[in-house]
Amino acid sequence: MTMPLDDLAELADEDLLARYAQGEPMAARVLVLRLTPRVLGYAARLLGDRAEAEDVTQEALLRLWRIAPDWRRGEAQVLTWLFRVVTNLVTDRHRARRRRGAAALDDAPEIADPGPGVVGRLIEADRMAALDQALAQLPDRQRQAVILRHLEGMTNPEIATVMEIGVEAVESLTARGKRGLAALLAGQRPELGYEDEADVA
Amino acid sequence: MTPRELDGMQLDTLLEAARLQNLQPSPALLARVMQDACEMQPQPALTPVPRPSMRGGVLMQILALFSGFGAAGAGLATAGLAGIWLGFAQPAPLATPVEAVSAVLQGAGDDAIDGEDADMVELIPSFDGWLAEG
Repeated sequence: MTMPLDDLAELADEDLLARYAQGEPMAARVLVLRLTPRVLGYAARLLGDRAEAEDVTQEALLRLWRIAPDWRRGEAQVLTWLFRVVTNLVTDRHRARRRRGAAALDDAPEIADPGPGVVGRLIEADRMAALDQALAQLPDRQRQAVILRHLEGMTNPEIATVMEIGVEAVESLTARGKRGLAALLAGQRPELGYEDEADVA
Repeated sequence: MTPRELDGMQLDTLLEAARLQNLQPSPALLARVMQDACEMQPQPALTPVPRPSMRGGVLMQILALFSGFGAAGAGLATAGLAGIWLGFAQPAPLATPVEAVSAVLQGAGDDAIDGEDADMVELIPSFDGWLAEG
């Protein structure tokens, strides 16, 4: 039986996926609208390239649709599972890039276009661009841990599931990643809006 | 002079600002993902037709097995019972045509035929007579 859209929107991801597997057409719509921005945001931060992130997003979600009929409830959260797929897809792409020797400085990830906006938004975009550039310079695993913890708001056990490592390793990666970020951003305090006391004086 | 690192609070503020920035998917991406979802979605299962309940005990269930032959069974049973009835039931004795005719003739003879009785011939022997005489 078809459930109204409003009621479907209140269901958990896993329940929606079960309804999708049963052929409920509106469940597909709700899942797409709910999951695509999250997956795209994570993929874009990992890759630093919107077009590539869109491809990864589509591929990750395609794998979700494929596995939906065989999804075992309670074993994993849908979003955690998707982030793990994205992480693996991005890792594969990074490896392929390195094999091609294309990971030169010129190929540094482009910052996603923030779109048209007023001056305030441009300043904010500059801050985000500086952060993204610094994130891109972190080692892969540290970058994944920092993004999942601080930008996606996941708990350490969830991150451990996504990265297929222990919780202690997550804590270590996150801490080292943040230290690395702080060092990388040190030279960009003005762009970030943090003036040195000496500058102010 | 080495630039000063961001302190923990500054970095957290920056990360929080980044977390609140949602990257919105383009309509083209949503359309692609939606198309995949529709193509991969299993078809809904057909609604099963409810089977008639088997209430009424074992006898009703057994009779239900022959439900397709109900009409024919009823006709056969009626014909069988009628045959048994015809075989055993004694038909009521009927006045033979001779007796009926003679009764009429006797009633009329008193007026029309003086002094003469008509001869009576039993053309169709009664069932009782046939049993008695063989």
